[in-house]
Amino acid sequence: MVEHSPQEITQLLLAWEQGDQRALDQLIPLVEAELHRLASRYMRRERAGNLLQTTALVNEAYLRLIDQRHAQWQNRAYFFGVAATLMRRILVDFARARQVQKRGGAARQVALDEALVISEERDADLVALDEALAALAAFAPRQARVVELRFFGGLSLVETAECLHVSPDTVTRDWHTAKAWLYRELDRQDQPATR
Amino acid sequence: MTPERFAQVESLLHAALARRAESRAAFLDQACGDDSELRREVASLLAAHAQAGQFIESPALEIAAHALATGPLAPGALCHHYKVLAPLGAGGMGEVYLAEDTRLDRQVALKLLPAEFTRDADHVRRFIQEAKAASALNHPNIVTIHDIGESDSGHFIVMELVEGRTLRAVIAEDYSVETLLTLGQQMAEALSAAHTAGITHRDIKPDNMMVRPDGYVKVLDFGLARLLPATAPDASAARQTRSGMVIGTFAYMSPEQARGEAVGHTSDIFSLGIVFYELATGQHPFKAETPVGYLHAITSQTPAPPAGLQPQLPAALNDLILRMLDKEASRRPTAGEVVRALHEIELEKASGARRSNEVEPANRNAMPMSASLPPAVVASRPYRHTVGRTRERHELRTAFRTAQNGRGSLLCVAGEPGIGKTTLVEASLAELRPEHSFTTARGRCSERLAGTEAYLPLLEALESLLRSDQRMAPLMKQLAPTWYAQIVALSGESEESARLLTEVKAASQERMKRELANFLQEVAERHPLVIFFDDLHWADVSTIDLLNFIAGKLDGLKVLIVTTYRPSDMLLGQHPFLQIKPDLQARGLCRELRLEFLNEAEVAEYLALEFPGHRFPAEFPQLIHAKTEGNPLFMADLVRYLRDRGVIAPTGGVWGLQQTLPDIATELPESVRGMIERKIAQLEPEDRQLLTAASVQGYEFESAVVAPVLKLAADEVEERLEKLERVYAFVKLVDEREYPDHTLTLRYRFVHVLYQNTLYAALRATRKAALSRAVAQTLEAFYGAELASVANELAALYETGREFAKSADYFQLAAGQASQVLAAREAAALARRGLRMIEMLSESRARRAQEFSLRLILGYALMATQGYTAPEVEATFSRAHELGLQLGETAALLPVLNGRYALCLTRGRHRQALGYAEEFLRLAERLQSPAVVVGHTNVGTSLYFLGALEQARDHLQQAVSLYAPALHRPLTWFYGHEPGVLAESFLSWTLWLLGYPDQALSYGLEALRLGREVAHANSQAFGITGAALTHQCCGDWRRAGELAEEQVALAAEQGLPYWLWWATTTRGSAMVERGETAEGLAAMRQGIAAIKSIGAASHLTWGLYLLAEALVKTAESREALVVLAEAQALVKENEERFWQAELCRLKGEVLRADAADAAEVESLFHQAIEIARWQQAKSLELRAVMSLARLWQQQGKIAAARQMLAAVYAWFTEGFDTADLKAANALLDDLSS
Repeated sequence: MVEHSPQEITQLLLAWEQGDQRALDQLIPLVEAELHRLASRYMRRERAGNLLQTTALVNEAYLRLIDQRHAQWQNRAYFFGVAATLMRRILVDFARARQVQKRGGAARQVALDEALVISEERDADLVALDEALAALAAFAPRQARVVELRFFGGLSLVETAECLHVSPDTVTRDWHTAKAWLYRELDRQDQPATR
Repeated sequence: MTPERFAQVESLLHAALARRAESRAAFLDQACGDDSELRREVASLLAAHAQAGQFIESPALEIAAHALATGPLAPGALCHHYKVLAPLGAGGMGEVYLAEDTRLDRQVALKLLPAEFTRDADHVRRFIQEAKAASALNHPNIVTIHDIGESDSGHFIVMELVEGRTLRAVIAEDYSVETLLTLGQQMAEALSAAHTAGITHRDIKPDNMMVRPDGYVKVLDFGLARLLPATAPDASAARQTRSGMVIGTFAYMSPEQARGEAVGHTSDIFSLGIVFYELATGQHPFKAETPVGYLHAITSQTPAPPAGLQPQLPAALNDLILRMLDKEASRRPTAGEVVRALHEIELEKASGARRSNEVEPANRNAMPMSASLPPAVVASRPYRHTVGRTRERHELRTAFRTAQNGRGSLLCVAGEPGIGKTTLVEASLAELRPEHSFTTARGRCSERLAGTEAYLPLLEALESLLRSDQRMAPLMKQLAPTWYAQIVALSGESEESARLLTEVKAASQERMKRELANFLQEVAERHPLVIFFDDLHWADVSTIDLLNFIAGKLDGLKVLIVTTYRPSDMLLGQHPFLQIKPDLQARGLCRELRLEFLNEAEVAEYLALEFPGHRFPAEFPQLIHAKTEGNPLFMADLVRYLRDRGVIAPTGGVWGLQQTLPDIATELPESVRGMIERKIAQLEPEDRQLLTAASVQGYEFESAVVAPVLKLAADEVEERLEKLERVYAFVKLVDEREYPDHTLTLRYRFVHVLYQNTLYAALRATRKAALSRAVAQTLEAFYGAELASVANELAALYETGREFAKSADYFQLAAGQASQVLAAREAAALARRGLRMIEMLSESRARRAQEFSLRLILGYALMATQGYTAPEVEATFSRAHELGLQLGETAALLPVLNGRYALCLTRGRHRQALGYAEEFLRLAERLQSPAVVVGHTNVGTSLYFLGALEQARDHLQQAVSLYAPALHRPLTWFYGHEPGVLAESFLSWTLWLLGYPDQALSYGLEALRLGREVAHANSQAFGITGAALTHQCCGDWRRAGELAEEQVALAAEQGLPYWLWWATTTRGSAMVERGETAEGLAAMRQGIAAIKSIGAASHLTWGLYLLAEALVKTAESREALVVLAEAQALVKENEERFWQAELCRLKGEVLRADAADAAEVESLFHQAIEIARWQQAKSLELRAVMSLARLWQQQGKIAAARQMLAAVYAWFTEGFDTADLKAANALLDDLSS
């Protein structure tokens, strides 16, 4: 794999920020590769019983991706905000793809061979959550953005507050509202499926 | 919803959250007014808020990381040397890829395990072990595992590539009875092989079975279910999947699995039953909509008979499936039974239909497995080829069939090291396996523990039985509790085993034998039982003794016992087996197969099997044969050596030699040992060190022991061992175990004991000592509180490690344990070895204390094995006594004094016995020990024998009044008798002598009752004797005779020779009394001769008196006098005086009958009266006076006679119903008339 320099990735992010969709097409595989690398590291540590702080991991990913010398990225939080959106997109796409791959093929009798494996469930959850989040954003955009930043972007409370230019208290309040709302939405979807 | 409305909802939500939970409802009522929709919205968010918990609290990346990390491998990706070619599919337990083994240049299936399953290292290890074990079975219906490893993408398994479709697809398309018959049999065969090897699949389902286009079924994923959590996937857990639970396949679980209980082989049978049901009907037997629903259905629904859904289903098959689906695990058939049932159904069907165009199942099995594989692959598999031995294999099969028909036997496979004894037995049993259903139990004898670990191979065999089938445990507990106790004690289940061990202590060897025979019979009732004892030349005496007993019962049992041994080792060691073998052979119960070396043709055959299609020169087998003399181990090693060195190698796919024969000849080692030494020399130094350390632990050793000894990490050792097994074939994995401290360990053994010997022999003394110490210390750490179970091993290790004090400690522990299970010979041997260790230590108090304990064990063990009279017994106790006094008069001295007392008492040295008894009593009194009861009993007993009856009564009465069962019954195990039984028996006899027959009888009956109450054979026997003797004295010969009969039966059953001979004697005397003179006399003579031969002398004067009395009745007066003279001599020699008066009186009666000089007769009667008066023995005085009165009556001195008799008779206050008093009364009447 060709190594891409942080400058290059930063340029692409900037371009995407400014509306260049082709930049996104180039960005996604780069970020994805980085995520794969991070994920295997995460898993290796986990197998060794050495749990890593995910926030630290994500931060590290971001820092590797961006060119810190670039003037416009001096506001770290701002960049994180952009990156979180990207992360959401990549992770949800990935989960959706896996879901299709696993559930695909009519021959599989799901009910009979139900090895309930958590990764499948989680994939399903991510996709559903993404959809619910979009619905929430229609009438509560800031609350939805808090979830995007914290859950998909892995930002801390303070970073989220910085990014949104609000107080940490507001972030906490938004987070509780959105979490309750999303939980209720997903729980409603679950009802007919498993009960 | 509008943003405004949502803002309103949100602000109410947070306002409510700020209030206490109980006031929120009121707040909402008030805040929402009549906007009920608003209220509902806020309330439901409040509820969601309360439930949401950790929902989305962890970042998405964390959730995705697992998936990302184990995400699909792209074609071209590498896992070690496996290159991914294409995805094959994905199941719950991972994604499967077609991959290329770049080293071996072949295609394989690679399964990537999801990270969720591999977090627990212990589970992973268990899985790897089981997966390998199943694969190692080399079963055509079990998929072969080539490799298991870990890469950046996680753990992966590399398997044989099976082309075909899953059984799921087969069921979907063509379910039918035919499909079930052809495929089902193979599945059951796979399970049968796995179950026999102790492996349970745990996740049998159609998705884990592949069906090849040629009709072969391959069962996948053995052991994989090990990676699932062991706990119950109950309904609530199933709903919690979101929080991280991973759950297995619900629809195929057995009820016990669904309930989260422990599962055995029978669980697989249930799952297979579901698969069969589906194969027959296309439908699942349990109806449910959701996974959780299946759990419920499986545990509660009764499936509809499959024949209702599939009219073509034969009734037998319908029944079989329903039996497999029995909710009660123990009622399900075994896999072997399923195989046979299907086979029979198929045969019946075939004979009924006579359709010729169907696939013949027999042909399917005959198809060569390796047809599609290149020869190189076949040869590299760990196949064990058995060549030659046709006759021996035939013999083994014949012996099995005969046993199957109820005529078991002992088959001995004899041969020198490396001749292939074990291989022959294993291969023959494996051959029998597919056709027959039988149970196997296997035990090995150990070289290090040779002869000292009592019942070692037997316990191992029984343990293997217990583990093979969960039905064994209740059966063994019921029929052979003493054995069960020993085994569960070994496995560390302590609470119940403690109770059972008490029973063991109370048991006798005879009882243990009987129990074992009953148990084996019951086990064999179901299926024939094959017991395999390997390396019998190292067996302990107790095992041989039992083997002899069982072998004697084999005719009539469906049990085949197979043993292997080295005849030369047996001869050199004068092994006890040699003593029992000729007799068993003569009775047709034992056959010996001598294994000879292989001949040239057999060597050639071996090469052809190992290297199919080879192009070796014709002289090559000859060379190998000449070099190895046809020793199979040497030959196999040599061939492997040549292959490893590339001398035997394939060219263009054909095996050939890469060197000329003369070159090869000069290079080959000269002996098996030379071969092994070379193999060892080839190893890396680390591997060599590892194996050397392992050799110190023994032929079998453990990864968890070797690792700390070498200061290596456990996984490194396991990896090396794995390599030493797979690549170098030095060792073989036996199983995985858990130490009492919960450390997991892999148990390995050397492929042959010669390897261990060679490595061990090469060790220098100091290194050997250091390693032995390290191994011992490691074991000590692992066993913690359960050190006793490895005491023997630790003793031997510390012996080699030259830590003599520790070694002595462990020998002492081991010897103590051996004596607990009545293995006196082993206890003695261990105690002797401990004493040898003591000799190495410098003089100290601790040393003396150790010696004291060892002498004590040795003394009691020798008493049991050599009898009381052996000089060594006395010497041992005397030394212990001396040591005990030096150490201070403590409670530990009591058993020594008791030992010395018992010794003297049994040998009739009553005066000396009294000395020890008094010393014992004084000490017990000073220590305020409960043993005071024993002390009074012993003093009283000695005094009784010495004729000091009143003093005797005082002590015995004190013992009886002090006696409290709760306090004193535990002393039974220390002193060999229940204290109450002993005291009451002797008190009974003393009271009778003193002239209190009624009291005597009541104590006698109490002794009998107490004896029956305790499960202690010796005490029981004593109680019966107590009562019998009193009855006899009271003249109730009938009751005395009955008790004697009971006593004979008990003593014979329990193997108590001393009591057997006494009972034989008293029974004989009862027989004479009722007129069976000749038989009675013969029995008495036999009994007394036997008592004398075992050196026992107490009560012998009385025994001789009984004999003389019987002789008088048969008019053998001369002999009677001889016997009486012998008894008189004993009175003098042993001071056994309690019956002295009767001896005189009887002699007088004999002489009177012979019409001897009346003066002499009268003087004898006077003498008797005098002695009786002196002893206060009123009952004997009465007898003597009656004799004299009768004499005087004859002589006309009627008045004097009456006066004398009346005086004695008047003394009596009780017992007027007893024979003597009635006779006296009648005589008085006679004299008065």
